[in-house]
Amino acid sequence: MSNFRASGAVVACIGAQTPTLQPLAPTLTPAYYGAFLTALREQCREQGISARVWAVSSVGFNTLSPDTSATAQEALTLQQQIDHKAQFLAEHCLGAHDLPVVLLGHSIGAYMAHKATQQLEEGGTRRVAHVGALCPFFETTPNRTQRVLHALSGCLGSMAALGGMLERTGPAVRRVLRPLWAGGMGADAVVATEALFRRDAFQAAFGLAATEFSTLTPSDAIWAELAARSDR
Amino acid sequence: MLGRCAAARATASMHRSSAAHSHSHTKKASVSGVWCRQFDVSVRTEVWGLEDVGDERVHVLVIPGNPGAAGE
Repeated sequence: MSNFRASGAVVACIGAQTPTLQPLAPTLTPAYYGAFLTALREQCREQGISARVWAVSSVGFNTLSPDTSATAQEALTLQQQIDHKAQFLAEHCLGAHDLPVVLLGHSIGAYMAHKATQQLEEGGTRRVAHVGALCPFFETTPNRTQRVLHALSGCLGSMAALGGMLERTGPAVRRVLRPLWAGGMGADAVVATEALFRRDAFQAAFGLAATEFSTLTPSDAIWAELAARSDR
Repeated sequence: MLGRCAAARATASMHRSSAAHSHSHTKKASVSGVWCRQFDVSVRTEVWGLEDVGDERVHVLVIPGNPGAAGE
């Protein structure tokens, strides 16, 4: 992990090839996420910046309790998730206090951060001070795992049902399935990802993935900028 | 339009619930000082953060990636 300055803001840049920290699954495990936020605040403090650090999950990724609401059946697209982030930012960050706001987006979250900021600026809302991208390695030429996921994401209902079935499987079955789902990640992230084996989480994740890969193209200006700054 | 409606519904619900149940859906995570708030289950959103110490000069908001793209 290395640090760099972008427009005066210190952000963490996590290498795509050999990540030492993977903030991929933390939406699913409070301990994992808490460690990341704690490290982030310490990192800011070392740079002489006292920071309030928050993280907002994508809609549908709940850890405190499974999403049993009627809207759980409604899989949100990438654009809907971006709209949600713009709303959240406007009402709970930019509109709630005078602190400058810095966004750190991970993976597709980096794209969401840029797009949400763009939408807010077009709407005349007070601007986000800086946007940082952590491993913005979503791809328009996905790797094998992502290609499989993309193909499966056309069957959202079936995938959600599969998630529901996995929720009821035993530890042995999960141990077999975990590497298939998250084999490229570190051991902790693989274990944490097991929390995805839920119907509502599958619905949300595949709903987003279904549009993530089809929405982004190399001609997208934000994607091009992030891709140019990433090593993958 | 659907997206904006869904987002607006989620945010409005969060506001309502925040006022009425600001503590009922808050949980301390296992890491010291970290809170996780699900203001209302229906918003399908969780916000996590650290307790403020009072001298914050900047607000950093993390937007995670999609676990559905695992393998990255």
